[in-house]
Amino acid sequence: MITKVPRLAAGLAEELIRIVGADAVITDPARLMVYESDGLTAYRCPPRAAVLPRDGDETARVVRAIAQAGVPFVARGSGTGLSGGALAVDGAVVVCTARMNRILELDLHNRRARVQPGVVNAHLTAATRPHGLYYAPDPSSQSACTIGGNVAENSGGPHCLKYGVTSRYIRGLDVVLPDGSRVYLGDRGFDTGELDLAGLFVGSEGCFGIAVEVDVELLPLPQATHTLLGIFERLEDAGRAVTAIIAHGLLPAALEIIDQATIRAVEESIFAAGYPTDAAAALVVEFDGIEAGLEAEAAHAEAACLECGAREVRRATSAEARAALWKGRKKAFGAMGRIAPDLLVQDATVPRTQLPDVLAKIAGIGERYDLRVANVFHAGDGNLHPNILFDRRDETEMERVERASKEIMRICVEAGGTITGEHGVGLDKRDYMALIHSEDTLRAMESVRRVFDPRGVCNPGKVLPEWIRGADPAIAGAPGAGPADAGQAEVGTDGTRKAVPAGATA
Amino acid sequence: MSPEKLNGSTTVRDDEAGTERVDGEANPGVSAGMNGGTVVDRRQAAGGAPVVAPRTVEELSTLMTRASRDGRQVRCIGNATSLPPGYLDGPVDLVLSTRALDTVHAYDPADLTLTADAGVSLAQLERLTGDQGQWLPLDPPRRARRSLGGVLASGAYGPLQGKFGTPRDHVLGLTLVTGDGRVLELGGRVVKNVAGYDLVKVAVGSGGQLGIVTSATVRLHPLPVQDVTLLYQTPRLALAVVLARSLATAPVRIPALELLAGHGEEPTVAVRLLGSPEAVEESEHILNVRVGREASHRLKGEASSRWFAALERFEDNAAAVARVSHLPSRLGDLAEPGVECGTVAAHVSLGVVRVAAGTAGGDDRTAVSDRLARLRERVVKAGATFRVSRANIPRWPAPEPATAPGVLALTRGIVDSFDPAGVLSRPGS
Repeated sequence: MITKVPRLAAGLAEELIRIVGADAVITDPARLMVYESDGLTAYRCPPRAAVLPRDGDETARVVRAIAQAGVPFVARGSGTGLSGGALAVDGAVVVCTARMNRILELDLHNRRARVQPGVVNAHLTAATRPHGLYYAPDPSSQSACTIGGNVAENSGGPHCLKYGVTSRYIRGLDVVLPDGSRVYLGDRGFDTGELDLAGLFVGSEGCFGIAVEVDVELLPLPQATHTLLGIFERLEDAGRAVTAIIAHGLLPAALEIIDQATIRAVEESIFAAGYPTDAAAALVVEFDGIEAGLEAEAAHAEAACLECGAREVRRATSAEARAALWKGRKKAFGAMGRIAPDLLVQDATVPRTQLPDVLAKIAGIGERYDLRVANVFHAGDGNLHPNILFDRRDETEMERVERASKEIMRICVEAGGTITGEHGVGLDKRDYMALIHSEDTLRAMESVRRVFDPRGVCNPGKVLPEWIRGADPAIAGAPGAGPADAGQAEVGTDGTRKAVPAGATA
Repeated sequence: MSPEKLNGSTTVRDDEAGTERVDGEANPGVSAGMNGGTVVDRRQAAGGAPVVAPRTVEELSTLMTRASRDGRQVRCIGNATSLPPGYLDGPVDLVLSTRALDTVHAYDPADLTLTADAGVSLAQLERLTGDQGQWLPLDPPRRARRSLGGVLASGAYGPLQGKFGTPRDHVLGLTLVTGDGRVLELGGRVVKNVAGYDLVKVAVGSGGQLGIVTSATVRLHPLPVQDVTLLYQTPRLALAVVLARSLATAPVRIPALELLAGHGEEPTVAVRLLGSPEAVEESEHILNVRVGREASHRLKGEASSRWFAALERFEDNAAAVARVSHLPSRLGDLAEPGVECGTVAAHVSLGVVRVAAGTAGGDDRTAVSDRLARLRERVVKAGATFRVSRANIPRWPAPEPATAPGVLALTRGIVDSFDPAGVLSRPGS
């Protein structure tokens, strides 16, 4: 799909080039294609321009220039997000943090690091590992995703069952607000009566500003890690094993389930991990910490798996052997990409005890709409990842995908869950927000957004449904997005300029 | 497990002796705005303002809506165990207590989550979850008597933050009645949730500026099989600081690491280890090797938890308590001036030092103020922050540093959006 977007006004382009240099301002439509979608490729929309500042000062000046021109902007890290959150809708300019990729300070004595937002998550751990420390949040995309993106999304990962999500590890944030001013949030203590603005900023999906320096807390590396892989004949049994392990008072570092459809996808791909393809589910259980205690914990978990009907439990302690057990889980998304052209992944979270019931219902929905649904999920914290496999060129299938997707979301909410556990709302789930939040709560969220961004120029169109946000003023009538520019924008099916699912118009 | 069963079998109200239930008009000016039947407790009346304990969220919401409309000043005191200094000063028209909101709504041990009203005390939660082999690992000063809502509003924490975090990390969702009476359900009941802006974070620890927490869902943890406290005593403070820092940078995650000094007692570094017996024993070995000595005392099981429970009373009898903080590596710069001012209890891995000065009811009030002022001067010079978190004295030094202008502007905007009439905090405060 090619969407026409408003051009960058000449004056603004010159100003941006003055700040960051010509090589860091991209306006060529062909080169802008890189920025037209994030990891959720169903949505595409190229930005008006992309700017790549090198540090906080440049970012502040860039944002000030863009804001003064009344043009909306969107911060973007590596574009691995899965909710359309970094999409430049409404002719926004992308402010990409890719060049801000330096670790500014490693304070080993205090187990902290100060990093630029474009530092790749795994690079931070690689840099601290030689000193016996690591950065705990480990989203599956950690080899590509950035700390800045993690902050925006409050990212989780397989090990957040034990260690918690990103917000737990952010000590302070140096932020460029949407008007270009700069403010330091956090690091004042949590019982001072001052508002936890850093906690509020984490997970705000790029709508409150751009974090240009991030102070993170590091943990000592666990002394040892034990990994188990339980093979089950029935998916429910794997779910029961998860409950049994928790009920035993154990808190594994990770508890992950891969269902049969996923196992088969992996085994048929170049990532084949040696999981039996006739198994209904595989459960990865991992314990880490002090070596001395792990053997006993792993033995309890193995017994729990066998009691719940596992036909086989494999165990590993060496790095290579553990990697082999994890392979089927870690490569699941890559493998699925090879059996279907398109993939819609959701990440609703339900109370852990509701998992068996919800999984059965999801299977039913898949059958009813004649869709292939493969499940890979963080079972320990009830965070589901049903993947709907489809081909967006098939319009009728596309429609079934959307309806099934909505139903899955609804049953998860009915089970006491939420619509997103770690991927964020972005563009994709904003219309589902009313399923879980009252109008008063949504309006309270919008009011808080307006405190940070009174003009609505910072990542407009995300998180909250349009009927709550109203028209973002920057888009409605600001100079940069004025009538002359607006005439060049493609008009969506309902008359507004917006990103539309690619499949719907391709 | 049904709420009825929970409440029938386990709910224990805090001591209510002395509480007067008045259904009539205690103060016509204010109670005209109340629903009939609300509990009014005149015993705790502060500066003449009645203390009202709404029994439902709706009652509370009505009170706030009317207070907002009529331009009244309202304060919420939870169980009134640990109010910030000066909280009830100035014109206050109505004081709210959450003690009548005392129901545990849901507890599913298999999900490790619990939903309870703000007025439920942490002691109640401890009994209830303990029966299921679980706990809420949150140990703020005066823990047992505090209400869940009060702890969340204040953000208070204790030594266990070293592993488990502060209240913000325990809360999955909460109900907040805003300054203008809106009832907001924030967050949810599941352990991972990023659906929308995280207003839970901004409500927890806000000191009641945005609204009143009426109930919350918290995440529980399995009770550790083994609980061991190691006490390392040294003759000199400087040695205790070195020892504490050495433990803090050991390749072991220590759930609680405290340094205690002052009052002529031998400085002590306390380490609490939790987990499987094997892991606790191995951790202990690693720590002893690291500091090149054995602990002076080793407490196990209940003796260990009792020792840390006693530490929860550290602030109880002080005339004033100051909190100073710096990078954890700067512990030495804070401990020494701390000991000159009073008794010190430091959260070593966090870099927060509590200093308890004087005794409550003692006659050295001016001396306490002076000592606090000296402490402030010295730690601020070292680059630390200072604030008085409890005070039974008429005057105390101001916090340092003051809030940055940019932060203040955001704070004001957010407070205004939750409490447009400034019912819960004086305008400009």
